[in-house]
Amino acid sequence: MSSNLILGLSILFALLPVFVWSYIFFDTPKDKNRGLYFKIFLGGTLTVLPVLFIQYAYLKIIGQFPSLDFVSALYASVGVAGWIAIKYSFVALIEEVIKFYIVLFSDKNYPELITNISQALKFGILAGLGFAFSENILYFSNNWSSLETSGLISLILFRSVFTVCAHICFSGIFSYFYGISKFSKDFIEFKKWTGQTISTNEYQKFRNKQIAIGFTLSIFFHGAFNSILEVGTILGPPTFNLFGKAITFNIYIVGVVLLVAGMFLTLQTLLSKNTGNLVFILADRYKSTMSKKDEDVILELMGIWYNQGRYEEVKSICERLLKRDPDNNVVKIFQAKIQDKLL
Amino acid sequence: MTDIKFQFSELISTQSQNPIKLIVLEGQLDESNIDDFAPKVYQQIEINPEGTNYILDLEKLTYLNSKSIGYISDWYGKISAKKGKLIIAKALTNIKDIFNVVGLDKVIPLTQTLDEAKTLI
Repeated sequence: MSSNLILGLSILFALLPVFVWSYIFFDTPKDKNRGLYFKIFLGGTLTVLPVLFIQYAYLKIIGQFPSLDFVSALYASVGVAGWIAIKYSFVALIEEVIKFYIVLFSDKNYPELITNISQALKFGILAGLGFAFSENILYFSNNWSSLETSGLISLILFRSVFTVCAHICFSGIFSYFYGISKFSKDFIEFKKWTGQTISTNEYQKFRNKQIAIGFTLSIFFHGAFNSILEVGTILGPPTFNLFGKAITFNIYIVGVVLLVAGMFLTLQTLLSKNTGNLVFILADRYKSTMSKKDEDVILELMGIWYNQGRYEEVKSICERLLKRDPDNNVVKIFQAKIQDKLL
Repeated sequence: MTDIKFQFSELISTQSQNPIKLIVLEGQLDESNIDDFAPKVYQQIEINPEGTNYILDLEKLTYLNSKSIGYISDWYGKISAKKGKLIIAKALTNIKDIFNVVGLDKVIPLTQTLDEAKTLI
């Protein structure tokens, strides 16, 4: 088979999961922002390039200057397990940072599009899909000739289902926290009214904390995912002795499947939360029919009653206050938090 | 401390057999004075006989904080437990707005005048 045909088929098979997963997560095909979504997806496809470039540059450099080969030295000092952990944490860090910047860049240019946390998550999912698409092309085309048909089908199926889903989850998780960070001001107001401690530079701290949580989680899961697969590839499936019978069981694949399922469920839970689906009004807010001073009295009372667990009363206040001030994001947060608690 | 003037007096009513206590407030009820003022109302509720009704005249009250609303809600509970009624009279529009949004007007009647308040007792 010619290399062009292999590349063509690899692209085709890499496209299939993109369509399937897009269909699962994006149920609005006539969305007027499809053009931007496509650009974010394309941006995601480019995130494989920096890692490939670093690999290429490193091999080129140590080819000319073998004394600079710090990887071999590191490998020797930390062992296989340590090396795998370092390598994949580094790869995960680079890939997630680039995907994050794609989401950030898109949001900075089209800030009106992310009006709720779920929308931020959508941006992240697209970047993740783009990345998985490129990575799949590389994997499929590199393994096409060396694998038997059954092995190739397994590879395509596994990567289309689990690897693509994993990448959606990695970027989905950081995007969720990015979404919260975007609406920091409103969440800080909520914290203030519910009597939580607010420091002097709370806005920046809150924002950075949310982004740090998102990054840490996505890099941790990404690193764990890659490391389990790599360990499984090196060690191969272990053999267990069950009632005198030797059974070979690929425990690493089970680990990866459980990890992906766990992340997917976490993402679904975050998406189903009322807080996650809050629509935050960023501009052109309706003017409140109450003065700020009077609204503050009510918000303060809501905070006190919220802390006392008087959720039904606070819920009723939210409904009435939103009639007077329909675009008050803090009241919406109160309402969503209560709905989540009353579920 | 923000200035708050208050006056407790008895109202004569031909329509009610039970005594009516009038509490007139003037100024602002906020964090600096509410904890000093609230015990005086509790004391009144405590010493007055069962069935005593109360009218809060808020005509000259320009501000009340969240804690004050909490106290009013609590006074209502205590007065009701002693088979009395609590009416809020002559509150300014912004104060009425707050009561409306908080939902207090659903349990405590708000009236424009003292006479109207008396007829509700």
